[in-house]
Amino acid sequence: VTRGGRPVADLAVWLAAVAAPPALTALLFPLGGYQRDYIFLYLGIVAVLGLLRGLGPALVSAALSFLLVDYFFVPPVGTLAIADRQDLVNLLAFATTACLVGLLASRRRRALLESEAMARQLRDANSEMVRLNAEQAAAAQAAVRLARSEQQIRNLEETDQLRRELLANISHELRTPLATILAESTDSTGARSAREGQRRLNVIAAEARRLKALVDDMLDMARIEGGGLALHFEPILLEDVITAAVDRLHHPSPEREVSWDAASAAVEVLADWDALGQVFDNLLANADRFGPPDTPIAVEVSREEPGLVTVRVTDRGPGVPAELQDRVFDRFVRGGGGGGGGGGPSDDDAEVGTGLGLPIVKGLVEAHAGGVVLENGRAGAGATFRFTVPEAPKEP
Amino acid sequence: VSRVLIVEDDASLRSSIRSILERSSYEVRVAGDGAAGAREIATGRFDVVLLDIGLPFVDGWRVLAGLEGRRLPSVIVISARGEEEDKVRALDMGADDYLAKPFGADELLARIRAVLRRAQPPAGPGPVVRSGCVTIDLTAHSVTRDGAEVRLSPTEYGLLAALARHAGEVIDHRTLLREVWGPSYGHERNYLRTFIQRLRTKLEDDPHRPALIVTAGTRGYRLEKLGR
Repeated sequence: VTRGGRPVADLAVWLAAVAAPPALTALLFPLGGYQRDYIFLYLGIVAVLGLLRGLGPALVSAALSFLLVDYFFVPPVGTLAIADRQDLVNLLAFATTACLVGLLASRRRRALLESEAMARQLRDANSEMVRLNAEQAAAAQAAVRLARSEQQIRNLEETDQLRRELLANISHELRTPLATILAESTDSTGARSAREGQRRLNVIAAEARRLKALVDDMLDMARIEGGGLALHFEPILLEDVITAAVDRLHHPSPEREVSWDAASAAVEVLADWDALGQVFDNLLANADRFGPPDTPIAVEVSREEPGLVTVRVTDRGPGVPAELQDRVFDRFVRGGGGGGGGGGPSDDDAEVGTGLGLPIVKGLVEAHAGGVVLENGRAGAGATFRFTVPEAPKEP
Repeated sequence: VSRVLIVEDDASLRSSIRSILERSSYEVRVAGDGAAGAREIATGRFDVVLLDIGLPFVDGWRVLAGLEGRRLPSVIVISARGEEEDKVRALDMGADDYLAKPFGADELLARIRAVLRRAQPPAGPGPVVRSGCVTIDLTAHSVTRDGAEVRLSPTEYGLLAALARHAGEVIDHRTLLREVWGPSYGHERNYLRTFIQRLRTKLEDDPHRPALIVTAGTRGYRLEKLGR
């Protein structure tokens, strides 16, 4: 079964169909009386042609062979007539066999062709599938890449959004004290007495100090969040840290009583002196701000978890309002008014925090591998802030 | 004596504004958060409210939204975010003016004087101006549409009255701003755009295709004299 060069091959096969039976006849003719023993050779020609080019050439060569055999080998020789009844039967059998051989051969050929076509289709399908697989894999990879970059874009957008909110917040926080300073310093109304002048200067100085505290806290916050904290961990007696922090609190609030038990505080923790001091400063200042005058702040030290020291700072204030409890450690979230609440016109002198004290506490405590939470609504108390700090390793 | 309510959460600023205003002989009340501010406003005793937008608990925006459709008081929004979109939003929601922190005492007093002046338009008799189904009584300071009273804020009324006194004529932006807002104004086109839009929403059949308050190219605005 050949492929390619079809018209030429076709012509060759048709020529063979016409030329092969006479050629065989020419070969057999000299054999004389034994010719009829070799008649089956014609069937070979028919079979080969059938295999090569199908039924058409096979039938042509079969018909030609029949006529040639009849003419040259069947008595009366030299005519197409048939004298003997037996010869007629033989010839018919020959013709039938030739047709059958041609048919079978051509079928065989078609089957071969079909199986080859099928094999080709299979091959094509297979390579198509391989190609599709490759494409699909590429598409899947592209989808993964796209999803990844979309996630990155979302992250960037979130970061950007947070940064813009932070900037807006900072702008807000800076503008309010500035507004007081500008308003006081440009006020041309009222008596220009020395006392009024002094009052304005005091207000302006207080606001300037507030701005300074705000800028300091913002820098601390930036150091904590930017990983710029340089902490020096060493074994420290917790008692010493508390004593120093209470002393510092008594500068602005000499009246405020702080109660704590020296025995339970006589424990060594692994901490940075300044950072742990700032944690106490901020928690005490917070408690001082919200506790009503003449109420004590309680500092309790206990051992509740292995390897950790637990500290509670509790005030007698109103506690943290429910709507703020989830956000007390967020930046620039402040309790209302202060000084016992009420939010009325009487709290004009209430001190305002920077809104960064608790976020800084959280950042510093976490830098010590500890944790801080708000415990609200303990009986007889306002807000309680509980934090943990690691115990110093025992000397061997 | 004009009465001023200060709604401001920052104690120092609240106290500074309070003493500045008291020395200028205003009667002053203060509120430290949005809820207290809303309660004070509900007593209806104020000519001017200074409203900080960034209040704890009840947002200043919500206080402002609760004031929609009032005659009084005039509202000056104070914001620490001096952004244009906040300004437009505040005016859109019915604020009469906007003050960005930080501000000087003189600026604050000028704004308060300006809103007070707007709330008390020139006394004495004025004509009754009719255009289409809208009637503007410049003596009684009342505006009706199809016989029903239209509630306008002081600034909205001031702007409409300025247009009505010159009905049929074009008044340019500068003149309108000076006449309605005060002599120190003149460039605040976004104020005009916002308040004209608010008047159209309240008075026009189709605010997007105004027949009553017409934009005269880039020059100014005109109140049409329409027959019934």
